[in-house]
Amino acid sequence: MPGPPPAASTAEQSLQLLKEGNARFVADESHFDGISARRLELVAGQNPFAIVLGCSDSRVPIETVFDQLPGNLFVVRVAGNFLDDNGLASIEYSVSILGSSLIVVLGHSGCGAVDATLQYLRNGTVQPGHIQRLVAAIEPAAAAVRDEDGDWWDNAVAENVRLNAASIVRRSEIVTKAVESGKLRVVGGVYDLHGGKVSFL
Amino acid sequence: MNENCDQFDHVGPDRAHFLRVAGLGLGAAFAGSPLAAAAAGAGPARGATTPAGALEELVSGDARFTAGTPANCGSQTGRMAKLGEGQNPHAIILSCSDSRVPNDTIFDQRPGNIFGVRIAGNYVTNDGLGSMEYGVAVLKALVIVVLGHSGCGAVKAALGFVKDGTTVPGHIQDVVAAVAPAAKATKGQPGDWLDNAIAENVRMNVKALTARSQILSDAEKNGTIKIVGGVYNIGAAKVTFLS
Repeated sequence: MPGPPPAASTAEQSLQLLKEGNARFVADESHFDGISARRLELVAGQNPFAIVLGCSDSRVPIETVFDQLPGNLFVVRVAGNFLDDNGLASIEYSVSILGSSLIVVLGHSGCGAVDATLQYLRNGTVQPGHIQRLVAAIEPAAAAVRDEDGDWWDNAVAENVRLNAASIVRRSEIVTKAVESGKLRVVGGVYDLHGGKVSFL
Repeated sequence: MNENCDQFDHVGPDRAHFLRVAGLGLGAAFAGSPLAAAAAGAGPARGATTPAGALEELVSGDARFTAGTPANCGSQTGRMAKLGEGQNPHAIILSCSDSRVPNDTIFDQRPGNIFGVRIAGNYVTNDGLGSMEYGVAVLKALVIVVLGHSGCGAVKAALGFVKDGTTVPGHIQDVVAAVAPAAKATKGQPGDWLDNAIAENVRMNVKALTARSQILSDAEKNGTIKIVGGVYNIGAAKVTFLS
C-alpha cells in the first residue's frame, strides 16, 4: 500500500510496539514529534499495524495511551468497546484491505458504560434513549461475572473484553481466516485510568 | 519535542490547562470555585463551558496542530491521575477509523477533553448514537463534530459501488451501504466527486443525529449543545468546518 511502511509486520512485533509505547506513556517519556513530515507521507495512504476497538471515554485516547503516531492505529470506538456489525465492518476493512496484523480489544477501569450495566442488573435502572443499547450489549459480560471473587466492576470490564475479542473471531470469516493463516492475532487488554498502564489479558 | 512542548511540560498539566482556559477569557475564579466543582463531575474541569467556547477550543487546537506547535504533546500522566476520578469532555467527535485521523492529535486536545466515536466512514449507527447520547446526557459535552477527511477509503468504496456496482467482501459492504447515499447525491456535481461525497456524507450525518435522537434533538433546540460538521485535510492538517 502507498504511504509510510507499516511499523510492524507481524502480530508479535505489533504487540511489542504497543507495549513499549504504553511503557513510555506510563513513564511520562512519550515522544511525539515529526508529525508534520509524516502527515505528508500519509496523504498517499495508510498502513496501520494494529486495530484497536476501544471505548469512547475521553480518558482513553487510543493513540496517546499507546504513544503512537498518526498512521499506526486503525481505531473503532464505541462506549463500552463492544462489537457491533458496523464495527466489525470497519475491522474487516483494516484486516483485508490495509493488512493490519493485530486487533486489540481495549477496556478500561472505571468504565461508565459497564457501571450503567451493573446498575441495571442490580436495581433495574434503565437508561434513556439509545443509551440502553450499550447496557444490553454489555449485559452478558456483567451477568457472567456477577458472583465471582473480587470487584464486580473490574471483573465485568475484563470479561467484556474477553467476550468481544472472542466474538470478533467467531462473527467474521475474514478475521477467522487471517487468524488461522497466522497473519493476524486478536488480544484483549485493560487500561488502568490511575497508572496509565495497559494490562494485556 | 518542540519548545512549546517543553514550556508546557515545565508549567505542568494543571497549570497549562488553567492558562489555556484563562486565555479564552473564561473566569479563573469560577474554574476553582466550589460551585464549579459541584456542577461538574469529578475529574479535571471541562476545557470549555459553552458550546461556542468548545468549538473555539477545537478551532484553536487544530490551528496549533496545523502550525506544528501543539501544546498537548508529551505524556499526560499528571493529568491522568486526576482523570482517574472522572471525565468532563467538552466535545464529542464522530470520526473515521482511519489511522491518519487521530482526533485528540488533530485538535491538539488533552486526554479527558474529547469523547470519541469512531467508525470507518464516520456515519451514525445506533450504538454510536447511544454513545453520543451518553456523552451529552450524562457527561454534558457541549459540541458534537461529525468529522470526515480527505482520501477516505470508505467513501471511495462507496463511489465504486455507485459507479459500477463494485461490492466488497464480508461485513465491509455495510460501510459502503451506509455511505452510498452521499455518493449518489453528489454524482455528477461540479468539482471532485470524492471530495463532494466526503462533505455530503458529513452533512447527512449531522442531520441524522437530530433526526434519529430525541436526546440530541432536545439538547440542540435548548442550546445545550451545538452540532457541526467538518472535513480534515490530511495533507494540510487542517479541519474546515462546514456551514
